[in-house]
Amino acid sequence: MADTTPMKIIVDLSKPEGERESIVPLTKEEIRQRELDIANFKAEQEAREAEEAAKEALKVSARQKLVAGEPLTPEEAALLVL
Amino acid sequence: MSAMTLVSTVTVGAGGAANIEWTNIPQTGKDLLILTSLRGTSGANARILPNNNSSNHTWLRLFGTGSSTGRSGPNANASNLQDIPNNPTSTANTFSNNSIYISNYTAAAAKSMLVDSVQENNATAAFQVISAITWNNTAAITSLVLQLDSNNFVQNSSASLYIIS
Repeated sequence: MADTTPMKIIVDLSKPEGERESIVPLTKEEIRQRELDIANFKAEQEAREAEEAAKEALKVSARQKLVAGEPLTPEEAALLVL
Repeated sequence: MSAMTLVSTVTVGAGGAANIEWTNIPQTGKDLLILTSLRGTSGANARILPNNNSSNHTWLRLFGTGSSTGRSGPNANASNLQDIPNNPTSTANTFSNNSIYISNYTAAAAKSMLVDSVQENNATAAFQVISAITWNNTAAITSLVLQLDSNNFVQNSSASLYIIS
């Protein structure tokens, strides 16, 4: 099975030109931190998308009620009135 | 007299790379500028991590998708380069064009970063992004990690680091 360990390109600017660049595997800790960061980002993104979807649903409902001449809830009115 | 000095250009080779890192950045300048041309093997989210530190990042972005506009944030996570690299569904052999400007990188103050980015795609969907990032850490920036969130930057992705003095 092919090794799929992520690799990183490191440029050490304290070294002379021509000797600066190396390609090495990510450490286990780096991989762990990366996966944790990605999980945190996804959780935050899902929460944000859910909030946006809820807002959009309120907007749709508010528009329909306006057309039908029905009263809006306070949450629907807050979305439409600046 | 101010100067913009190219200190390093990295071009990703055939194996791809998850990270591009600069270490031991000279502390002789005022600001840093990173100009990149990026494409990922999966997804289009990445991060720029001063001193390889993923804590205390806050970012806010305005974006256009090619068919709509929006904003996201403020977000408090380290995936601060969202929709920056070209993703694998974009036209073959195309890369995004990005600029990351870091002010006062040696100052004992929180660091401010400005990201200006466009993806390239011969179709409607291509993100244009402007982001404001704060790394709330007073340490001088001595290293930078440019990392794709998942898998690798593809071959011929590149990143150039400039010191502005």
